[in-house]
Amino acid sequence: MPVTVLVRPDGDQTCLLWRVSTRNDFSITLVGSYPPPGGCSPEGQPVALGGLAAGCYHLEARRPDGAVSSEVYFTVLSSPGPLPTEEIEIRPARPTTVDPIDVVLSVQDSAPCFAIWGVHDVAIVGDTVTIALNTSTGPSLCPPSVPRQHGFLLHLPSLAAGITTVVVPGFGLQRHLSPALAPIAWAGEPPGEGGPDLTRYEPCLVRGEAQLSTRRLAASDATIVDLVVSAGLAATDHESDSETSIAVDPQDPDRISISAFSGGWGTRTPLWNSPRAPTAA
Amino acid sequence: MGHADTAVEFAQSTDRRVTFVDQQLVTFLSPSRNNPHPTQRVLGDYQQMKAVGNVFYAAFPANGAAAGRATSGIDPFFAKLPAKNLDRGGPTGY
Repeated sequence: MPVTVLVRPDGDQTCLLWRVSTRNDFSITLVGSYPPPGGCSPEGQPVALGGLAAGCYHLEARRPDGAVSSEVYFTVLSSPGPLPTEEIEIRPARPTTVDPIDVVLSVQDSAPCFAIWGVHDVAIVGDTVTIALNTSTGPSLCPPSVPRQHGFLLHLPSLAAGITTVVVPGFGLQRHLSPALAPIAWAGEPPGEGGPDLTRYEPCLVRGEAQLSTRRLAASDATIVDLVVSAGLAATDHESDSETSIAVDPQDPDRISISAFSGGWGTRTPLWNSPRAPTAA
Repeated sequence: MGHADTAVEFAQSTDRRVTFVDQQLVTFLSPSRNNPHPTQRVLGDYQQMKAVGNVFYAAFPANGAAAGRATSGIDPFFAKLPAKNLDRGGPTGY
């Protein structure tokens, strides 16, 4: 759920505005910045920054069921051009899986005739999802000319990650999903893992970090390489390249592949490949 | 809460796990403060290291600012580390 933050020059001042694409029960607060902009209001809508300084601004978007914060980097443009924008992605606490799951509901012959009109409510508590169906009962719903069905399929196109049990009240169903069926948040992660944290933790150097970077790569007898820098992507890569895995060809150890959350894991998956062992750029 | 001061360390034992010698590979500040998300994992869930012969090959996440990037963010890092000599503790890799 993107929140677009706009910086609009307004006379001698610069206003910080925001736009929420799908909901209007958000509030956004400017809770801090580094370096501090002159005349910056701590909160408000819009926020008059009084001559926006390039730098990082810490924003918090809040809605009734939670909040998310993000640091946004603004650059002051010297020439007219498109308004700089930043997007803060609000993601559900439970990311969904796209793997559909079918649940078979059995119907006893002794059960009264019924018809299902739709889903009345879906509630998630812990690892259990409870699906309440809208039904009607009565003998008119099963005329003798229509064969009685002994079961029907409840098709769940997606489930929240971490769900292990599906309950359908009124049908005596409590379906425990096997590990193979239970949705997992991300391909390759074992059940029980949370979804991947794909938040782009960027791009602001915090106070004192420049000094820290001078202590970098302290190991003397090791080769240590930042793959983004080595690949010449330091200015353009903004992914949060976490959760790394490595494969080394035992026959030719200089052939190495490394994976990380360096992009989407769909039909195309980014890999960091080296025909030779990576060397510092 | 500030940005966590983080270090990636590599420890080896040359006396069959009795003692370990620690080697600090990279130090950096987390690019993010703690946030209210229960799923916040700046470094992800895991990192990995393999061994081929007397050499360790590691992939780990760290802040690219430690490698000179002008912005702060998590990058994939690679490390090639020689195994210590089991008898003398000296490097034997490569």
